[in-house]
Amino acid sequence: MTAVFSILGLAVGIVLGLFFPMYIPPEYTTYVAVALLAALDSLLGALHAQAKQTFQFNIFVTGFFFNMLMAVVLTYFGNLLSLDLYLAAVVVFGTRIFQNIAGLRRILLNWNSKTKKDDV
Amino acid sequence: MQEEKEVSAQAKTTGKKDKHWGGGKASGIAVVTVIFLLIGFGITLQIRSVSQNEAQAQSPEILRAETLQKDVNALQEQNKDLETQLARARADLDEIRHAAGNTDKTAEILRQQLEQTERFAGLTELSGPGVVVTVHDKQNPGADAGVSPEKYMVHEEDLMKIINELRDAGAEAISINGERVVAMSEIRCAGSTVSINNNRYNAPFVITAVGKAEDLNYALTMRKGVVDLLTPYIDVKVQVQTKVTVPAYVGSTDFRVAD
Repeated sequence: MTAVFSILGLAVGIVLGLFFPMYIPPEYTTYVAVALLAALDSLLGALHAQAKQTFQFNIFVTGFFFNMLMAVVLTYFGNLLSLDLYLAAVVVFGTRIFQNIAGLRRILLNWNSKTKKDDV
Repeated sequence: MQEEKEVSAQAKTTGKKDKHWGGGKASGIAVVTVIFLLIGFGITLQIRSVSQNEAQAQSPEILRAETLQKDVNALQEQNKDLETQLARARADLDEIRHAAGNTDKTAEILRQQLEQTERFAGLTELSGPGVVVTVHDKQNPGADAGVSPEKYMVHEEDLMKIINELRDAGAEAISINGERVVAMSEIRCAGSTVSINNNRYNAPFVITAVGKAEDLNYALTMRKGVVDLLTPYIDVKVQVQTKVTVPAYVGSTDFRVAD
């Protein structure tokens, strides 16, 4: 059920994004990129947690918005200091995305082999 | 996610795994849907914006300067066209006037009066004896040129002083850099340039005046006169000539406000 609505939401979002009449001004694209990275990180974290069966909805939602906000604030602060602080967000979220994917892969592989063993 | 792991693990052990906010499953699905919608929207819009921005990679300042330069060129072209038109119209007018002047005595008198008025107003080219005054920024400025360089540049008031002196000495026609000075001409500071008849000029300035050449020369170069006064700050050179030519005023002569 949730998966169906997720895909539906994603599709509607993509369509809206394709036909949105305005562009993001060049000076704000960094902020959006960092926020998107944070969002993707939260999403993969949630998937990973789901696979481990430790998923908690409120943690996911708060983490999603709070991480996005923090990433943007960090980028803005970096701009004020003329320091590319957004790189910190990029490195942290990037690393965690890989970690989450790795964790997810491991769980899925184990799960597969487990079921096979059960079958046998 | 790190914190998710920890807290969830805790929640698991305390048996509160199904703790949701408010309305339970339906609202949860709604929130997840909105989150996915936001992500899809954000990613597509971001990708579109980035490619759009790269397409207009040229910086806005450069684009703006280019547009302004184009505007200036177009206006200058237009100005030239209009001046040719005006010259043609004036030539036509002259012809008509001559034709009218041939018909009878009254017309002849009127024509003379008109000519006189035009000469007075500066609408005709005039030549005769006179002086040519060349005004430069100071070539060898004083020691304080580094501190206040503007002290050694030609300012509009310097030009006005010279012109006033020429008028006092009986100059009959004056032009600066080919720009006829008429009753309504301004001589005004315009940034690093001087605006005369709404056209802008840089130093050096060449002031041409028709009049009794010796009178004009003496008026300018007498002791404690204008040239003496200005020489510490700018270079002024006065040349007496037996024949100088002052061009006609080429701007608009329309009255837009006066009744």
